[in-house]
Amino acid sequence: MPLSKFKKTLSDYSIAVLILLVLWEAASMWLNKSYLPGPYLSFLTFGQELGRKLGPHLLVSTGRVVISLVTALIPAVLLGMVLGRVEKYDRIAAPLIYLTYPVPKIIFLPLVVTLMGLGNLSKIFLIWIIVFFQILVTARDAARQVNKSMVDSVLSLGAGEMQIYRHVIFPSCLPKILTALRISLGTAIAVLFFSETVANLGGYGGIGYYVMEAWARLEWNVMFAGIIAMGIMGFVLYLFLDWLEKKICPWEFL
Amino acid sequence: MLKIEDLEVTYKNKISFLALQGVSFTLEEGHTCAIIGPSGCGKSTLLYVLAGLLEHSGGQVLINGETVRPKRRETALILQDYGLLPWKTAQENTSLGLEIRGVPSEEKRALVEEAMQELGIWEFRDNYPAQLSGGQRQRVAIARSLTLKPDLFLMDEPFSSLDALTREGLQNTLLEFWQKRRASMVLVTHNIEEAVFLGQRILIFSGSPGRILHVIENKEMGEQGYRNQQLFYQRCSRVREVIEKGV
Ligand SMILES: Nc1ncnc2c1ncn2[C@@H]1O[C@H](COP(=O)(O)OP(=O)(O)OP(=O)(O)O)[C@@H](O)[C@H]1O
Ligand SMILES: [Mg+2]
Repeated sequence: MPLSKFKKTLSDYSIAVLILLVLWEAASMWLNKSYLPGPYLSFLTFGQELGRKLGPHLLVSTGRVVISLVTALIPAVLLGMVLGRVEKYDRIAAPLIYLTYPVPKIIFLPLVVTLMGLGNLSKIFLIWIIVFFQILVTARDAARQVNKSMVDSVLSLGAGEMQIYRHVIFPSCLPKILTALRISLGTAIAVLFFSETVANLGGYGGIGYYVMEAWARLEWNVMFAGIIAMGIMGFVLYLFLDWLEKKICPWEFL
Repeated sequence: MLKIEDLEVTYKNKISFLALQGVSFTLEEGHTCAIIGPSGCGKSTLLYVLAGLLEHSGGQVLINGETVRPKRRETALILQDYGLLPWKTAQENTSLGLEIRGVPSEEKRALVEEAMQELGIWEFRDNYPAQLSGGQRQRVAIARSLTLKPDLFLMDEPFSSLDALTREGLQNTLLEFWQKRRASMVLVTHNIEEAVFLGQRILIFSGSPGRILHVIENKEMGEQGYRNQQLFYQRCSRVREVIEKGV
């Protein structure tokens, strides 16, 4: 990204941030209740807490999200592409996917926690199945839509099946996969928050745990520091995916 | 040499569909033929069979005496659209065939530059297909097949989405090539002038099931200034007549 464009993006974001802060401040002044502290106090607490307990909590949560995204992404993309391309596998898998896809996976939380305990594994797994299905369905549909003439013309150059995946199917699905990933990021963070609040081992249990603790102690500004941390985590990951798409799919942005 | 005898092609889906029946013709080494006929008469189907991408249900297809098979290295297929990959630059698209064949990168680069220079698209090598004009895109598709040094060119309406002037320019380019390299060429087209300009022999197809209705010899093809000769116009009228009246 050229510097001038970067500056423009930065100023656009600054304006948006300013608007949000003003609204927040206005709401806080108007309500005038301890449970809605203003942005100044919240960010001040955020700054202080980051060096203390909040930092490790943030790290734990970010780690969980990133690990589940990455480990779900790879098998989902591979399997999705194969299902989208090979009719006979898809005929077996499609009914399974259609039956299970609409079920909100969070409903398995009690079961998953019982099986995998209160630690990292249960949370990573919950996010994993959500992201996995989302990406699987996206990759499959995208692979089905790949233009047949495009495949044929590459086949006529002598390409084998692997080369078709590499040169045609994968790049053709990639933008849709990244879009799906950005959308499932929101769901992933929501599920993470929820599972961290209801099932944890104490200690550094992640931002969800941190926020619930602060709430229980009625430390509102600390709670808001946690909310800010989660917001920033989502924003940074979102920006990263956005950047990644521009980086690896340059043809989409001509 | 391309030899097709009593070719029959059936699409087998829920209901099977006879797309071609009793198609026979030969194309001598280094000669060209143009195929023209109504939409849906099986022209693309025929090219797909020749390219080894579609199996035939009857008859024989021999290329240089061997039964047609997938991935014959010396056959090049050029389609109307979608031949280029949107995520590869012009140069990467041109390299694709060599890359698939595992040609070492030094050699690959040299061959690609040569082909792109020859077609006048080297300066656009870093453009993505979306940043090329329709004519430039087809030049890339042609350059890509040239890198593979084919002896048989199969083209399915390669210029039909181009405007008249660009189209004539590319027809001239193609003719020059053919005169230089003398590869065999099968060209499917909807355009009568194109068929007469580029086909030494013109096969007129009719549909349901597709078969050869009539063959017009056009030996004068490739003569200097053929496009403006009286004979050229006569041939065009003749082709039009056969298409319209069936005789
Ligand atoms: N995959 C397929 N399955 C079943 N029928 C097909 C298939 N592909 C083509 N056909 C049928 O075969 C016939 C010939 O199709 P083909 O694409 O070869 O026509 P064409 O002569 O190239 O037409 P156009 O000039 O419109 O490109 C058509 O009637 C078409 O409906
Ligand atoms: Mg066709």
